[in-house]
Amino acid sequence: MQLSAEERLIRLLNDLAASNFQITADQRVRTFGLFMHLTLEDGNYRRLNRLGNLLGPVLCRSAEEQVRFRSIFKYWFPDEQPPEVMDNREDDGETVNVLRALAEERKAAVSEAKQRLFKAQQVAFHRHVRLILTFVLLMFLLSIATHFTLRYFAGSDVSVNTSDVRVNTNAQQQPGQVAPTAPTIASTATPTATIWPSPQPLPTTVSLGKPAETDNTEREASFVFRWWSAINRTLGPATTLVLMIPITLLAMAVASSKKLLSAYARQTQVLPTKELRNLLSQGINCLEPGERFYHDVQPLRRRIDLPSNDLDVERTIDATIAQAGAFSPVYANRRASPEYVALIDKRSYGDHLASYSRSLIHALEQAGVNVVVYYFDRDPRRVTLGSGHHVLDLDDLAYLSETHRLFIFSDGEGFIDPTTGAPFKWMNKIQDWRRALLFTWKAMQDWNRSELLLETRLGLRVLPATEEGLIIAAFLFDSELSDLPTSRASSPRSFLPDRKRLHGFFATSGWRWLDDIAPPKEEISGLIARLRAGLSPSAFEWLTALAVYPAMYWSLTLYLGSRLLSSATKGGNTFQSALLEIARLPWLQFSHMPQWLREHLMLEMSPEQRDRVRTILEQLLLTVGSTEVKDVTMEMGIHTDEAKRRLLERLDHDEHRRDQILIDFMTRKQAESSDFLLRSKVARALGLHTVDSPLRSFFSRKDLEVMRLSASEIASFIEKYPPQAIFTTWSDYYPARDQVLELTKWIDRNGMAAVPPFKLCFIKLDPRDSTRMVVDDFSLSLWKRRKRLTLRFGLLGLAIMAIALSLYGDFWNTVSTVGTGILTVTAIIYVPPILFWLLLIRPYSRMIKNFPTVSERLLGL
Amino acid sequence: MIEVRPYTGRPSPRQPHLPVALSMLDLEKAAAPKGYIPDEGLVDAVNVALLLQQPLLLTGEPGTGKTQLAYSIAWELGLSEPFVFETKSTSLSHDLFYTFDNVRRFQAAHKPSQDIDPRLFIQFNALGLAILRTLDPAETAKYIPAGAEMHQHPQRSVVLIDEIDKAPRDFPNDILNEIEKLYFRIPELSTGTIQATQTLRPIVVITSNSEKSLPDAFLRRCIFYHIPFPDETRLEEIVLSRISGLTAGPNTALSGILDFFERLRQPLADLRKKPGTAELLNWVAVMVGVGIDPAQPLKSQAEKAVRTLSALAKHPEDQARVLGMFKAWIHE
Repeated sequence: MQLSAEERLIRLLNDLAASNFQITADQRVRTFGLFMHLTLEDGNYRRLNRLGNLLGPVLCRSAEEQVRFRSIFKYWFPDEQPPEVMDNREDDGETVNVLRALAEERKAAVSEAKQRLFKAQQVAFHRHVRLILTFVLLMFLLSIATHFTLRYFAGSDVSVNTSDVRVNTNAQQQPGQVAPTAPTIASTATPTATIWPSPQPLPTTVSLGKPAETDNTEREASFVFRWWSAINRTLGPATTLVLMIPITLLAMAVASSKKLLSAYARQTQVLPTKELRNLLSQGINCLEPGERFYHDVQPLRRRIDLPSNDLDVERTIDATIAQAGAFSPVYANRRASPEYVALIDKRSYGDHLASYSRSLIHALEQAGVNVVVYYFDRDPRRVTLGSGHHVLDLDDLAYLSETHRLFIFSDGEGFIDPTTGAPFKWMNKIQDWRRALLFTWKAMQDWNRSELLLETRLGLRVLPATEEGLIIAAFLFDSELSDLPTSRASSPRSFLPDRKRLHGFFATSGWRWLDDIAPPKEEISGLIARLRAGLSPSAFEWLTALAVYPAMYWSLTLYLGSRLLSSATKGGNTFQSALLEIARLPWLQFSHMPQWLREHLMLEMSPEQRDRVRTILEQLLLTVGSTEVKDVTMEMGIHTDEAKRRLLERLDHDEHRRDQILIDFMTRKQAESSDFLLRSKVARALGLHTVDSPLRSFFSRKDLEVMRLSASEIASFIEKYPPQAIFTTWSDYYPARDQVLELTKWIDRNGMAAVPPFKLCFIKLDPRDSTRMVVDDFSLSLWKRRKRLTLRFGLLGLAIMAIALSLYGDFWNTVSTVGTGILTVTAIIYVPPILFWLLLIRPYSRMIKNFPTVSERLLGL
Repeated sequence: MIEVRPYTGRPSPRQPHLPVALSMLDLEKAAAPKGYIPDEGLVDAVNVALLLQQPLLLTGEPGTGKTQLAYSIAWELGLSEPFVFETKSTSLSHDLFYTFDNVRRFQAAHKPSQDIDPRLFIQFNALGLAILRTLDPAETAKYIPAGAEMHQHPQRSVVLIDEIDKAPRDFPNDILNEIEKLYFRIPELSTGTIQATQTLRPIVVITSNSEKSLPDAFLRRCIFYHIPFPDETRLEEIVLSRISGLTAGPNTALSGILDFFERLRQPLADLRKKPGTAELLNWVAVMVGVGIDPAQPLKSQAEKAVRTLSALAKHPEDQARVLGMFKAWIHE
């Protein structure tokens, strides 16, 4: 049913309201007034194809809302089609032509979209059909082979001719009578032969040479069951069942993963639906402070006296009289709402601590406190406003906001000079603000000399970055205490043993745990043990759940926490303290968790936890919509850059969007740690070595061609611009940034479809390892194809099994017990793949491991 | 005869007898409102604001033409130049309408024989002026000193409140009703409300650099538009409309200018202050001034162009970076 323009407008407004647009009744009235005016008035707006441009300014209040408005508007008024309210109007020729042209355009667009959809469906359908046909063919071959083998070993001279076969299941049946039950093939040469463990006596006769005297329909019907019967009779029901288990499991795995994959793959280009937004808001709501907080922070709003240039008339008169008529101006103080500048230490784009601090400030804003937020990275001498467009020096900021109060959200580590142990000299600039507070993320038991120095040397009062900390700040400002009580003095002393103190542990070695290259297993075990000991049980569970999803988003973290923490622990400060516990960890500060850690953390989950997390994520993923808008909440991975996306698509088609660990988790499979085949593929594609191997035939030519092209592009780039060192990392802030920027310029100049090196995914040297091993995210993307390879190997195993079964067909006659039979079948199924692994794949993988790396070959390292 | 020459940095031993004439660029065209080219969305936003008679709040990067829009509106609608209120960090709500000079008032009080007319100490500011100009001249007489004439007949004006985000937080909160209904009071004169004539309501354009968020109640009373940075085609159009003597097309100086400018705006350039449209126009004007041949590629005239780069960089570290990028760009 097509909606009228007015109805669409109403739904548009409702959608906007659901998307957190604050639309007042007044705005609604103005919107409708404007709409009616535009539809009724003659003039420039008769075409109404710029309706979005006109409504946007009325309904939006920020640049971000302006972008979101366009996407939602396009949904209700696609292609800026003129609402049909105009269609009925008698209009001049020009308008009619425009409407007609737009209608045609729209029709063409819809038609094209339909064609594309049909093509995509076709491809998907063909893939499934190919898969099913492959299985059917295999089963067919298996039964054929078995049948002929049995015939051969039984010494039968029967030749099978489908057209000549007459099926008869009972010797007593009259000629021409059709078998009433499952038909079987019988041989006159083995009238009494029984194939173990056949439950029924075998049929005894078959007529050859003459066409069966049955009608065609019945014969066709019986034909459907013939091969099944042959297999069943040949192998016996139990054996068939055993045989079918792996096949069924394989088929189920493929089917289920396909379904999930398609759901996950949608995530890269989606706008969160209303349901998703609702779900994610559950987590955000958990951070919502109680009513008492809003009441307690009101002193932060209390008006204060500020100097002004206005004369205080009364006092000036008094002063002038007192001075015997000599003009004696007395300037008045103006009462004004206090304003606050908040500096948030933000280490990375997705820094959870920064987001947490922002949420605290948001709560203050909700309480009516005026706060302007700036961000900095460890060193506050340069601060940025929001998106980073406005960069300010601290001096400038101090000048612009000297009457403001200053809140700093940081752990304060960047304020202390590591060489002298004293605060940096430039920190004196903080003293330009009359009132400055440091809200630290560190747990009170971790407060140390740094906090003491900041308090004593700079007068920077330290408070915990929690709701309580803000309430204390309100109390302090309200009472205007010149000597604020030191929170530290009343802070609880630490009774935690050192091994449980995570702050010190990560303060010295935080960076190394962010690296994508896995440390030795012993160190990983030690790390996990430390995390388990240092975090509360609920925080640790939360952290393990975060490991499942490939990317870290603030809203997702909150959502998982809100669902995982039981209602008993979720309330009040427990949620906040657990959140702070995990947010202090380096992976959440830099919103990146390496694969190795994800794998190990997931192993720490109990089956119940796994089920719970799986359910939560499934619920979340199924709410993901599918529009073309890019402002993604549940975006997977980091592939937002257009150039990188294109490059990765060339490398890996769509599969880069899929995270194998997540998929394995959701499909209840364990992830494998490595994939030698993919490494070999990379090596071959890079031209480093050529290995003649039958395995090559398992790769499609298309895959190889794509890999070869991509790899040659990378190789030629490195040869052209041999870098001395390339470091990639998860953040813009790292020591080798200048070199990397230089490299970026090379890429840029060369016009390659590459991205800044700090996002460079396919080349990476380990900064710690002297061997300069190539870390192949490149091969990682290929590794994601292992499911396809697994399928191919599965099919290969089945084929081998079928041949083996045929060769050993004679063995059935000698089998006499059920146990021996099962063992035999099991051996037939599993021995060939094991032999295949031991004899062919394992030596091959060893060979691959010894390949020279790209860096060794091209950089001479 | 007056000598015309640029500054060379190598002074002759004797100072010229007469001040030398300077070779200065004619930037009148570059700043003229008739050369202003708004994007389609902005045009629509202006029309919505006019239709709904609400203030238009503009945000956007510095140099995207927020301030210039007010002049463009006034120009196109045949109104006089906009009244500009330059917001300061000490601005109070009544400053938008008038200021009362208390010091002079005190000074005047020292002459007791005279009857003091408080109207003498009032200075009307942007929105106050605009509101008064919508009234009949006879009606405004009670607010202005005797003998002074503000206007001859009621008329509409454009008011520009520039960079409102620089004001204290109370400022937008304190003018909510005034800006919606366009009225104000002058307690010092003990007069009633002065309200704009409905049919001649002033057109109010407010700009913000988004350095500070504005209260919701204020935003609700405004028509909002964020001016996006123009793409290369629009930039070319803007430059051509504002700077004369340039030619468009491939392998011209302008194409090179835009290419390099685009590069400077990339995040990879990592400049502290990204150059905006205003910087581009200045740069182009300076290059025209130093004699760049518009028909020749910029790379072939790099020696001249490199002397003009200071128009693009506003920070010391940016200057070195821009210079480095320019040299790299030339050698590509």
